[in-house]
Amino acid sequence: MVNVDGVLVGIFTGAVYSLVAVTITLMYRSTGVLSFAHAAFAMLGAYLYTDFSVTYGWPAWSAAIVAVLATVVYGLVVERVVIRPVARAAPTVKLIATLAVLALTTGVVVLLFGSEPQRSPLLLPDRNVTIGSVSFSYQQFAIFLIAAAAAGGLGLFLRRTKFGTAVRAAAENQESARLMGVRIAQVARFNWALGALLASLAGILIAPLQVASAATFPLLEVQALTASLVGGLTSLPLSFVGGLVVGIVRSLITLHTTTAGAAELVTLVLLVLLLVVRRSWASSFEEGPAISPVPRPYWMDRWMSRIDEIRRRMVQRVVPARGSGAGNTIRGAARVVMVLVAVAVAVVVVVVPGTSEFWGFAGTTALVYVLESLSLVLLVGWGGQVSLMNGAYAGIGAFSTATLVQHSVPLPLAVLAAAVITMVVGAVAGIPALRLSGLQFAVASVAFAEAATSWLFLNPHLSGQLPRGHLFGIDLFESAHLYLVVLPCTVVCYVLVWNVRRSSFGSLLYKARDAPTTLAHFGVSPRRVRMSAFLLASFIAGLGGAFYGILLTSFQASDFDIQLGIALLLYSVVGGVESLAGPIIAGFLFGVLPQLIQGQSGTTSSAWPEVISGAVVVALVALRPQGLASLLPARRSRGSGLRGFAGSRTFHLGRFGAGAAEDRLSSHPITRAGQSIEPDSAAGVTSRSGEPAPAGSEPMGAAPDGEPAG
Amino acid sequence: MAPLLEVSEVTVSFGGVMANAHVTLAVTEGEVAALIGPNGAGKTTLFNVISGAQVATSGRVRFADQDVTSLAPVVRGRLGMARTFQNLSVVGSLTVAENVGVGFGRFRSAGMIASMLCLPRAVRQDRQLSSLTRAALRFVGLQDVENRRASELPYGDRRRLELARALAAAPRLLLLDEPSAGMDPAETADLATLLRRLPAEMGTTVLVVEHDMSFVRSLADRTTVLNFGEVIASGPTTDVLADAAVAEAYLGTRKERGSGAAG
Repeated sequence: MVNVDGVLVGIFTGAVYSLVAVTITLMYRSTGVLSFAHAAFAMLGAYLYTDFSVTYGWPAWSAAIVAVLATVVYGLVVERVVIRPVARAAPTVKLIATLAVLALTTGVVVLLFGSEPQRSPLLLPDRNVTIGSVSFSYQQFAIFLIAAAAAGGLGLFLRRTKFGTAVRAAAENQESARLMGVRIAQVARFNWALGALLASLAGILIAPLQVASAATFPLLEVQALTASLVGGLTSLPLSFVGGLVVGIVRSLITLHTTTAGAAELVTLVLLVLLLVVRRSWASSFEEGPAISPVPRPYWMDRWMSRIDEIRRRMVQRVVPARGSGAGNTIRGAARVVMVLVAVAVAVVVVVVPGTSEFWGFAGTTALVYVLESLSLVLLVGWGGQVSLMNGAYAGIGAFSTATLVQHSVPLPLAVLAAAVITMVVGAVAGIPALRLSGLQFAVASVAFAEAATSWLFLNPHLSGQLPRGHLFGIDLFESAHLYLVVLPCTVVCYVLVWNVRRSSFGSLLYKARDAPTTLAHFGVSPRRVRMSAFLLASFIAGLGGAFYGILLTSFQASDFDIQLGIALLLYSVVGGVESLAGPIIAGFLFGVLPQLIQGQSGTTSSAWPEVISGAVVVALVALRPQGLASLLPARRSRGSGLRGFAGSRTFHLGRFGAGAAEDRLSSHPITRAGQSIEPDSAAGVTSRSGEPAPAGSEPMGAAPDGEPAG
Repeated sequence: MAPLLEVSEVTVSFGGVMANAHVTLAVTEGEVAALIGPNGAGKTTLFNVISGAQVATSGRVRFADQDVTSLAPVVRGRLGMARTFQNLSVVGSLTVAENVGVGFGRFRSAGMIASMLCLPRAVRQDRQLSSLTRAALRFVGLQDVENRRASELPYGDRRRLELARALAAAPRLLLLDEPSAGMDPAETADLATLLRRLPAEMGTTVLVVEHDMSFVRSLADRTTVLNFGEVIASGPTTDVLADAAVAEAYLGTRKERGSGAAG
């Protein structure tokens, strides 16, 4: 019977997922880290093994042992260098750190071994075991046995041994475990070594069974994550079973349908269902900023505060405190210099990309990254949700544009429609996703990205060909011209997001992230606030994707895979995910710099951006979780909240839309209460000398800057 | 006239523990009411039931002539209920003014699109909000620090900020959870004066949960005392505080009553 065979095949393919799932579960359970680094370990193990055995001709066994040992050492290094500095950070920060490890490892692996798929020799003799009418290789059998042994053995180890008890205690409550004499660092080291060991083993064992490339392993990770979720990220045996279930489901689907990516789609549905059913594991995470300050070791703190001090002095020297006459002159001079610099930058930004095809391409790429980072600032920085699906959103934008253009929709309309389509898809994905929090959302976004690449974008009705045409009489055949079209669109989006932040809606958004329950008590639905931001974010991401598609002219599903999603997230983290300066930094760093490094003749794709962004995030997560933007002089970025409210620093795009009645605001009782108060007795609480502003009349833009008192 | 807030027979049990047992309480419009009781008496639980953060096991809550027992906090907020929190919930990364702005949330009709495009409606609303914010901050005496981050404020000022934010919602009923915690006696006295003015000047009825007896004495028209989840006394403040059962619940058998009972 076909189905029995399908189940059997599923069990043996699922065993790999089980093997990785068990380590992911153990890691999460005992250290609170939801690790994407496991994909990196599997990748590193597989590539080292292939390299040793194929290139150097070592015997398979010694190649495997050396590869596993090397990966274990790498795992320990990762623990020490990347994970320990963020040990007390929010779970999402740790997740980003492991993503950085994955990106860095992928980049280095691609640089060293190339991006071509690798073929590696079998580790075990090429013989088969036949069960029923299906035969399995020894290797597949071994994977199953190892996974089962790992699940069972680790379960016993955790229950029966003293160190196992310590691991479980550390999982429950690190602080009290520490007080009871458990050495937390040792537990973490054990976990990372074990995770690296099992993951690299899985990588080595599956590499010969399929054509492995760098993109294989994030996929493996997604399946393993789904399996872990079956076990609620706590139960090792259930994680093992979960891997088998995922394997069986996938194998049965591939037997019954030929639609590409159907298995990934079902995995996505399965994962979302599991997230809803198994909600309990999220309860241990508080909501909050995705990027929160990380408690740092003392020496690092001292070092960073020294840098801050130097920065503060430099700013003071350039912009002295107001009041002194000399200060005002210098202030004025500084302002002139700043205006000149701004003009120069503007000229460079507008003119240089127009000078050549090379610069036009680089500039447009940068703008696409600016748009994608802008979307992530809304989602991650202000919305507090780590999203890995921006790559997929960009893909939806690009494919929609191409398909619409193929159906002879005019290009500008197609671009706009593509952004709207992305927004609609974002809404569909977002409604359930907003119920999830932190890590859950991240996991769901991974599954979404995976399903988009391996199912949605492979739809035969979609077109990946987007010949550049004319737009408003400008021919887009030259990237330089394209740049001049994309630039104003980017600026408009930037201004829109700027306005969102500056308006009082911006503070609602922050509040929805940091204290949703409080917001609800004030009659504002935090979910609705977040949804609005989510929609705007997906619109911008789709728009960016549409431009990216026009830039590429021809693309395929794998151009928008999960690796793009990870890369985009890391780029914006590097730039600074809470700051509006972040997207610009990210756009320049990753759009323009790689092109500069490669020179005008180099190939267009390279692993360098991944390596750089991975490495920088690894450094930043520990030192500057707010990204590079936080290194800029803080120009009272939020200190001018009231002026922002008044709209004086928001940009006016139009005066259309006659206002609704000012309803209840003008009769707000606080004005009556406020007016009845003598300014100097100030409600009698404390006598602070505040100038009495006539309530309700004065535009705040004219009010003096709030000098911080005290 | 029906009372503004009517809590009838509310029972909340956590497993076997009865946090509130058949609590009945009424607050008339325009008064300042207090809810007192020793630690663990179920005051905050009752507060949460009133504001919607906690679902009652049984019993009903009526607010502004509506049964709100099963309504979400958002809806209660829109009906004109505002509260402060015992453990402060100001957002440290926002400025003082922005924190207050959140309180005006229910008055905003301009959504994100209007804000993003700077439609005149949104700009006008934001302008109004900013002057109202100043008024609210002046009311609590924080007008000089409006542009500082909330995280930079000392504890007492953050409490005041919470109050300003709650007032920004122009609530019909203001629920204050231990507003004087962490304040010195002078500040506490000032706060009492301030709160006494609310019913007349803002049309806000106040229900306050407190520890500090002298604060309650100088503030509340009526007081309800909870002990072990049950109402043991209720009525005009002076009468209630003179009650022997209350003294016993609070002070054991010692006949010594004073301030500084706050934790």
